[in-house]
Amino acid sequence: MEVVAITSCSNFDVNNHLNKENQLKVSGLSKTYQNGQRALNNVNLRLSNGMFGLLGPNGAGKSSFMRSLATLQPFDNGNIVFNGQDSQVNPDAIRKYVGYLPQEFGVYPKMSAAQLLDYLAILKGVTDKTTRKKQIDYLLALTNLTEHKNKAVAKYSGGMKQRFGIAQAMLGSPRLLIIDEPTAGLDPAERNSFHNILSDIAEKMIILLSTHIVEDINNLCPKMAILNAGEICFEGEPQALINTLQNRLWRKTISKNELEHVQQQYELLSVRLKGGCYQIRLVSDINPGHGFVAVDADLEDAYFHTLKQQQR
Amino acid sequence: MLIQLLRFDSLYQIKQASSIILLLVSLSYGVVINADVLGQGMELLNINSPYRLSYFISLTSVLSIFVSMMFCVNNLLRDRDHDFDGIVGILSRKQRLTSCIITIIICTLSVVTALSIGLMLGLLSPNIDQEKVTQFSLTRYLWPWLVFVLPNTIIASSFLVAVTLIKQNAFYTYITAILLFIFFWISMMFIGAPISGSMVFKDPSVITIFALLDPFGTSAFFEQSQFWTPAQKNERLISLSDALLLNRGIWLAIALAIFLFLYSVVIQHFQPSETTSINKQKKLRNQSKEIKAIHSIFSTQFKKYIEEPIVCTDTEGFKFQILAFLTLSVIEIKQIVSQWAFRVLAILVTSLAIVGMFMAVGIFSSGIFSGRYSTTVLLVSYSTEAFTPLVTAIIIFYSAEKIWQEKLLKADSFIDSTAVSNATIYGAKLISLFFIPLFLVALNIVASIVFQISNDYYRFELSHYFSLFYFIAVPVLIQTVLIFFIQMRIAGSRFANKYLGMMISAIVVVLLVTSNGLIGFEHPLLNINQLPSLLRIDSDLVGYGDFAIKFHYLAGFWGIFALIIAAMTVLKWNRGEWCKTRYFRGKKVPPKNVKLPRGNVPVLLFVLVSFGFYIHINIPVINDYQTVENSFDNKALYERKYKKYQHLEIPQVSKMKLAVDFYPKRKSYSVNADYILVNNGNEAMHEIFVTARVPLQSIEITGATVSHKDSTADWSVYLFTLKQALLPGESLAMNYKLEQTSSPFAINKGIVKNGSYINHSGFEPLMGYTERIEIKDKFERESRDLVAKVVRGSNRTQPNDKGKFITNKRKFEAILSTPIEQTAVTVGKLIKAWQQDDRNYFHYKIDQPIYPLVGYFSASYETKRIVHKGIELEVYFHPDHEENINEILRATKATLDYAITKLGPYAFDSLRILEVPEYHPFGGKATSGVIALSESLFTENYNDGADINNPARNTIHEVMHQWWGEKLAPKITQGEGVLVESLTKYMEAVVLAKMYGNSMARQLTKYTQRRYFSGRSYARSTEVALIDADHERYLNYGKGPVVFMALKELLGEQKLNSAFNELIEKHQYTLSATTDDLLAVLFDISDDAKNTLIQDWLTKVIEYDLTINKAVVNKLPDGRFEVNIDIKALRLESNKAGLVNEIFIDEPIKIGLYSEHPNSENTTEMYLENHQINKKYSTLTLLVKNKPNYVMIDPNYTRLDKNLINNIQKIREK
Repeated sequence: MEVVAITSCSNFDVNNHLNKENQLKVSGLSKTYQNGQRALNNVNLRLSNGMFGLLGPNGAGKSSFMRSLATLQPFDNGNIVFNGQDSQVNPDAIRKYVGYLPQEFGVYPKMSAAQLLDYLAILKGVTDKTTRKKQIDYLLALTNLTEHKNKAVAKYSGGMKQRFGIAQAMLGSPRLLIIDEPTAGLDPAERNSFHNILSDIAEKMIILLSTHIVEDINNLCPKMAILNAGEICFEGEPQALINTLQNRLWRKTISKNELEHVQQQYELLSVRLKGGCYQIRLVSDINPGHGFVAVDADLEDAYFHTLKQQQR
Repeated sequence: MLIQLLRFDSLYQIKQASSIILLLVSLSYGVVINADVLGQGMELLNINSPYRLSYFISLTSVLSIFVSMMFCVNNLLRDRDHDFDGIVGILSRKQRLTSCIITIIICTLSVVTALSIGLMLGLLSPNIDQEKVTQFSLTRYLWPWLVFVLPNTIIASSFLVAVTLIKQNAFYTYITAILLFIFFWISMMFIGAPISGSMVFKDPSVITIFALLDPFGTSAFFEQSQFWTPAQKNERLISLSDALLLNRGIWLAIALAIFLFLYSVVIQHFQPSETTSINKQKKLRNQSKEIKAIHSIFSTQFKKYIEEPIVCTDTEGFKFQILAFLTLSVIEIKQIVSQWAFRVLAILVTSLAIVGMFMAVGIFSSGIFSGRYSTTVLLVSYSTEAFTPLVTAIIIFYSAEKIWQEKLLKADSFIDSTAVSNATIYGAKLISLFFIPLFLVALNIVASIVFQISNDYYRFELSHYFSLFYFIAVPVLIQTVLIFFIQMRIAGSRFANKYLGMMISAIVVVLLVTSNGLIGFEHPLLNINQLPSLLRIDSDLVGYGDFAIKFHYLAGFWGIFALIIAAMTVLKWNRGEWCKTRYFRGKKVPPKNVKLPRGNVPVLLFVLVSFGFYIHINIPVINDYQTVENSFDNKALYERKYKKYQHLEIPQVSKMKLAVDFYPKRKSYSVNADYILVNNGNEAMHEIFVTARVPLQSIEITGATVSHKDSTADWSVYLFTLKQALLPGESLAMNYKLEQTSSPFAINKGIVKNGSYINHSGFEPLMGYTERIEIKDKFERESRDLVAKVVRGSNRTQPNDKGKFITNKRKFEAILSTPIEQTAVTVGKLIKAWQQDDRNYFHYKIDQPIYPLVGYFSASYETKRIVHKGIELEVYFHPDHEENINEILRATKATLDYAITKLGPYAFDSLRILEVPEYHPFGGKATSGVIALSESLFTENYNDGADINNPARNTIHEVMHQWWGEKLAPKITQGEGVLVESLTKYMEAVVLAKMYGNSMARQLTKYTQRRYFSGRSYARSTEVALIDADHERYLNYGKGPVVFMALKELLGEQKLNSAFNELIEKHQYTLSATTDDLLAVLFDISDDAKNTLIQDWLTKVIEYDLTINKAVVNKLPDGRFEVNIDIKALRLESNKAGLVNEIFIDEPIKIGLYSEHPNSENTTEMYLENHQINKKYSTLTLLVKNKPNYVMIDPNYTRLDKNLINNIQKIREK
C-alpha cells in the first residue's frame, strides 16, 4: 500500500486497516535441525486478533515456531498463511505487518533508544518523518522510556531493555506481534508493567506470546496452546484446559520422610514445598482416599497434566 | 593442572578447521618456493644452499605475526566471544593464561615451521633441477629456524598477546599485527633489501640502525650477508654474531620483559574488562530498578491522555527501499567511523602515505642522491604504494565485521524480520565498506596537498588527485565485493566462523595477486581484477598513456564481474537462520524479493562474456596474451630450423636513409628504410638471412628473391637468394617498411600522444641468424630437446652475437614527419624543415659515419638553445619542467670543456638533449650528438643539498658518452662495457669533482663500490675479470669506475688522459677498440711495478680489506705532533669458483689525516700521501704541525673494500 504522507491517509482507510480482523493460519509446520533434532512436528494453529499464549517447557520448539513465523527460519514442511498470503511465496507480505520481539536480543553499542527506534521505524516502512516522530514518542511514553530515550540501550537494565523491545516491535503498524519469552528474567514489578502494556494493545492485532511461565498466560491470554516436543498438545481457552481436571484433582500434605513412599505408591501430578512440608497433587477420576482431599484445579495443574499425558 | 589445561587448549585448537587449513597452506607454500625459482639473484645458488634457505626461512618467519594474531584472537578472546568467561573467570587466571600463551606460541611455531618442512619436501619435487641440490643437511634448516623462526614467534606473540589481553578487542590485535608487519616492511625498504626491488643496499650507517631496530632480524640477516658472493652463499651458514646477535638479544629481552609485565601486572592486578562491564551492568540495573518502580505506577493510566497516533507504513515502493538503504548506510558507516580502531587505521594509512611522500622527494635515500620536487604526479605515485594491500587487509577485517556484527550483537532479527530487501541490506553494508577506501583516498589527497604546501610547492593538479578515486579505489572496490561474497558464503556454511572467513578471503586475495605466476597464462581476462597499477608510470609528458585505456577496459570488465558477484551475494544472502542448505527439504519456492537479481545474473553474464569477447578480439595475438610456454616454443623452433644459417656471411650496412612518420593520435609510426648493404668479408655472398623481431610490411633486396619466409609471434625470417653473388667490397640496396601501433592491450611505450621515443635498435631487422632469440634457460632447453648451450669463452678478438651485425659506423640520413603541434628530432644536422598537409617535416643528415643505434623523438617541446664553444646546445623539455634546465646546461658545458681538452674535439656541431617519459628504464641514453634524458631528472631537486647532484651526474654521464661510446665505439664483444660505461662513469666522478668539489666524487665512488659488492652478491654468473666483463652491470658500472679511480691515483690524471687520448685517436673511425687495446695504452705510460697492479686490477678479481686498527697522537717537545697508525691491509683474490684467497700486497695507498671526520663538511685535510703498504699489519709514524683528529686509509675509495667504515679511525691521545 502506497501512502506518501500521513495527510493522504484517509481516516476511513486507517480505521479499516487497524480494526481489521487478521487471520494467521499455520498448517502442518515441521522443522528438523541439522543435527537431526526435531523442532516442530506438524503444528497446526489458527489465530485471529487478540492475545494468544503459547506455553511450553524450555526446548519445546517455541522459539523455532516464532522464528518461522517471523520469516527468520525456513521450515521443511507445511505453510504459514497470513491474511491469505503464503509466507514462503512472499515473505514480505508477512514482514510488512510483523512486529517481533526475540527472546534474546542486543543492539548497536552507543546508540540511544530514540536513535534506534527511528532507525528501525524507517526499516519498518514508517517513511514519513512526522509520523515516525509521533509514533516513537507514543511508544516511548507507552513503555515508560521517555525519560531514558537518549540513553544507550546497550546499557539499559533487563526490564528497560525488554520494554524497548516491545516498543520496537510495535513500530509501524504491526498486525501480528510475535513476542518470544518476554518475561524471562524480569522481576515481578517489571512483569506486571509489561503485562499492562500488552493487554492495552491486544485488541487491534494478533499477539502471539510464548512463555514457559503459566502465570503469564493466566493473566493475559484468552486463548492458548501448549507446545511440547514440537507438537501442539492443547489448543483452546485456558478455562477449557482447567476444565479437563474438574473434580479429578486431589491434594494431600505430607511430611518430608513420607515423600519417597508416596511417590512409589502414586503417580503424582506435582509436588510443592510448602512450609517445610510437601503438598502433593494427583489426578484421579475417583477419590483416592488416604487423606487426599479434592481441590479446584488451576492452570498450572492442567498444564502439568497435559505434559504428563503427552509423555505417556 | 597446567598440563591438563594445555591438553585442553591444544585439543581446542586442533578442532578448529582454521588451524589445519593454515598448517596445510604453510606447508604447501614451502613446497612451492622450491618448485619455483623465486628470489632475486639466486641463479648461482643451490636450491638448498644455506643462504637461500635462511633467506626464505627468515623472511617467512615474519608471517608468524599473522599466524600468532589468529591464535591470539582465537585463544585469548574465545571465552569472551562464546560467553564462557562467566564460567571460567573464577578459575586460576594465571595458569589458564599460561596455558593459552604456550598454546599460541606452539601453534604459531608449528604453522611457521611447516613452511621449513615444506621447503625440505620441495626438494623431492620433480620440477626442480636436481643438479642444484647438494647433499641434505638438517643444520641448514634447523639453524635459521633457531635464529629466526623461534625467536620471531616469541617476539611477535609477546606484542600480540599483550595487546589482546589488555585491550580485549580483536581490532587492536589486528592493528598491532599490521603495524608490526609495516615496521618490518619499512625496514626492508630502508635498507634496500632485495625483496624491496632495490638493486643496491643502502648506506652502511642506515643498515646498521635497522639491523637493530627490525624486530624480526631480517635486516640484520641482510646486513650480515649483503656482500657475500654466490660461492659464499652456497657454503656459509648465517652466524649469530655482531648485529644479528645483538638484535636477537635485544628483541628477545623485550619479548620476555613483556611477558614478565603481563604476569606481574596485567594478570595479577588487571581487572579484565569483562568483569568490569558486568559490574557496571549490575550497578545500572540497580539504578534503573528504582526508576522503573516509580514509572510502573503510571503506565496503567497512560493511554487516557496520550492518543495513539495513526501510522501508515509503506514498504512496497522504491522510495521505502531507498530510504531504508540510506538509513542503513549511515548506521553502517557510523559503526565503522565511531570506533577508535578505524581512526587508528586511518592515521596509520595516512602516515604511511606521508612516509611514501618523504621517500618520493628523497628524504630517506640517506641524502646520497638528489631528491625530487613535490609534484602531484610524484607524491601520488609514491604515497599510494602501500595503499592497495593495506586497505585490502582493512577491508578483509571490516567485511567480517559487517557480516557478523548484528549476529554477534543478537540484533539481527530486528532487521531480518522487516520488509527491507536483501539487496538493500547488502547495498548498505557494501557502501560502508566502499566508504573505507574512498575516505582513505580523500585523506591521502589532503595529506599530499598539505605536504606540497609545506614544501613550498603550489601546482596542485586537482584532476590528477581526483583520478585516484578511480585508479586506486576501483580495483579495491571490486576486490571488496569479492571478499564480502566469500566471507558471506563461509558465514552461511557449516564452517561458519568469522576468522576462518577472514583467512580464506585473505588467501584468495593473495592467490589472485600472484595468479599471474600460477596460471602461467598471460591473458589479461584470466587474472581476476588484475588492473594495471598506473601510478608509477604516470608522466607529465604522456599521462597514463594507453595504460589508462587498458585500465578502463579491464575496470569495466571486472566491474561487471563484481556486479554478478554482488547479485549472487544478494541471492545467497544470509537472512534469519544462516546455515540452511543441508537439511532443507521444504519446497523451493523462489521468494519474491530475489527475483530481480536472479533475473539479472544471466543478463550480466551475457554482458560480461560479450565484453570479454570484445576485449579479447582487440588484443593482438602477437602480444600480451601468448603464454610463456608458447614463446619458448617459438624460440626453440627458430633455433631448430635456422641455426644452420648461423655461419652465413653477414652483410654490413654502410648507409641508411629513413623516413619515420609519427602518428601520435592513432598511436602508430611507420618506417620506410633504404639501406646500402656491403660485403665487408672475404668471401662472396650468395644468400642473405634476415631475422626481424617486429613484423615488417615488406622487405626487398635489389637483385635478390625471397626463397623462404616464415614467422611466429616472436620473429619473422626471410631468406634471400642473390641472383648474382655479392663479392667482397661490393654493395647492394635494401628497403624495408614497417608500421608499429600501440593499443591498450599491446602497449608500445615508445609511441605515445606526446613524448614518443623510438629506438632504432627496436625495429631494425638483423642481417643474419641471431643467438639472442635462443632460449637461455637450461631447464627449458632440456624440456625441448635442445642441446645445452655452450658458454662462449673469453674471446675479445671477435665481436659477439650482437656485435657481428654492427662492425662499422654508418652514414645516416632521415626525414621525420609529425603532426603540426609536435617537433620531431633525431641525429644529424637539420638541413631542411617544412610543413605539408598539416604536418611538420624535418630532414636530418650527418656527414661522418656514426654508430647507428639512434633514437627518434616527437613531442610538443619547449626548447632552450645556447652556443658554447661553437657547439649548438639544445634542450627539448616539457613546458612545466624548466627548473633544472640551466643546471643541465651547466653540467653539459663543464663536461664538454673537460672532454674537449683532455680527450680531443667533439665530433658534431650540435648537442641535443631531449626529455623522454619517465617509464623508459634508463636515466639517459646517448647517441651521436643526441641525448635522451629521463623525465625524472627534470623533476629532481638538484639543489636540495644531497651528497650527489643527480641531474648533473646523469647529464655529465650522457655527454661523456659522446666520447666513450660514440667517438670511441668499441668492438662489440667482452669488455665493451668497460670502454663505454666504466670510463664514462669514472669521468662522471672526475667532472663532478671539478664542478662541485672532491667530496661529491668521493660519495659517488663510495656508492659505486656498494653497487659492485651488492651486484656481485646477486650475480647470475660467476664473476670474471674486468676486461672480460660482458653484460654484468656491477662490473661495468660498479667495479670499472673504481679501478679507473685507482689508476688515476697510481698514474696521475694527466698521464691517464694521454693514454685515453691515444686510444680514441687510434680507434675513432672503426669499431675496433677492445680492452686489450686499453691495457696496451696503459702499459705504454707506466712502468713494470705499476704494470703488475694494472694487470691485477683489470685481469684478475681482486678486492681489499683495509682497516685502521688504532691511531694515537702524541705531542712532541718541538711542538709537532707524532701520529702512530696501526694498519691492516689485506688483498684478496677470487678464483674461478668464486672462492676468496688472501694474496700478497705491495702497493702505494694514500693515508690522510683530518681535523674532523673525513666525510663531514668542515673537515680540513692536513696530510695526504701515498705509503707503500707491503705487509698485512704495519705501523706508520707521521709527523704533522697541527693536531689531527681523524685518520683515513684510501680516502678516495679507490680500493674495492666491503667495509669502508673501518677505513676511518678517530685518533686517540696518548
